[in-house]
Amino acid sequence: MLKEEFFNEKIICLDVEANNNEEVMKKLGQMLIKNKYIDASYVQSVILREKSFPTGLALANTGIAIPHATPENNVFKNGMAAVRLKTPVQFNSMEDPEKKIDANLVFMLALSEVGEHLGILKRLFTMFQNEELVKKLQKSNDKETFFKVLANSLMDK
Amino acid sequence: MKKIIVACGGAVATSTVAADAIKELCEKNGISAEVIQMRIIEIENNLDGIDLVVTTMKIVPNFDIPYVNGMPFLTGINKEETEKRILSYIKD
Repeated sequence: MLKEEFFNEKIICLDVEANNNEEVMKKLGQMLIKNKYIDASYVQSVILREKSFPTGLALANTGIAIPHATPENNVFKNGMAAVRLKTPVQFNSMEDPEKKIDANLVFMLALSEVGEHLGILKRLFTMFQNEELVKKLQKSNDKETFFKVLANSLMDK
Repeated sequence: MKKIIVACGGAVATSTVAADAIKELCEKNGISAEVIQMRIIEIENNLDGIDLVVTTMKIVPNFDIPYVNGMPFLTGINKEETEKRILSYIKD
């Protein structure tokens, strides 16, 4: 069962303006810190890790990124923050770090133990593979709609 | 029993998704396989008895074991083709 804690409107921000991917990660980190999911040190490791192991993904029609890091006692509860960007920001590609991906949806994962969350991760990637749902996320007029699309996709069926 | 390494860059999140998809693929095709998850930097020292290496980040393999890029399990692009390639390496 998906706990509301994992994902909720407090850790979503739509139509964010950012100049580069570090700003995007900081914005995502701030929401997670403010809502007591993580310690500030987690954001630092995410930013650092993104340099050597980037997380941009080229989907069928768009680019996204899923910055995350290995927790070091700095993830207090599991969560996923989301931002939609006003204009896309470049992330390097996970598949090929030399390639750039223009991402307009960015999700920061904070997972204290990944193994237990296979269900959520699986549904998250199943959603990324569904063009209709990704389009819905891009076109949602407000946070509530955006949240509902995500929640419906991530919830146990 | 086939042994497959599934590796990603660091936090073992994306490789978890790919590993699960490969386990399902093996089950569906009646192949008994052990899927071992690790980080890309650990591959080199764990190649004994391995039949196939799959990673969610492009690598230049420095080993003689079959290698497949597992990114399609995350993005869905070219997934079928990737499944076929994996099966071709582990089917008896």
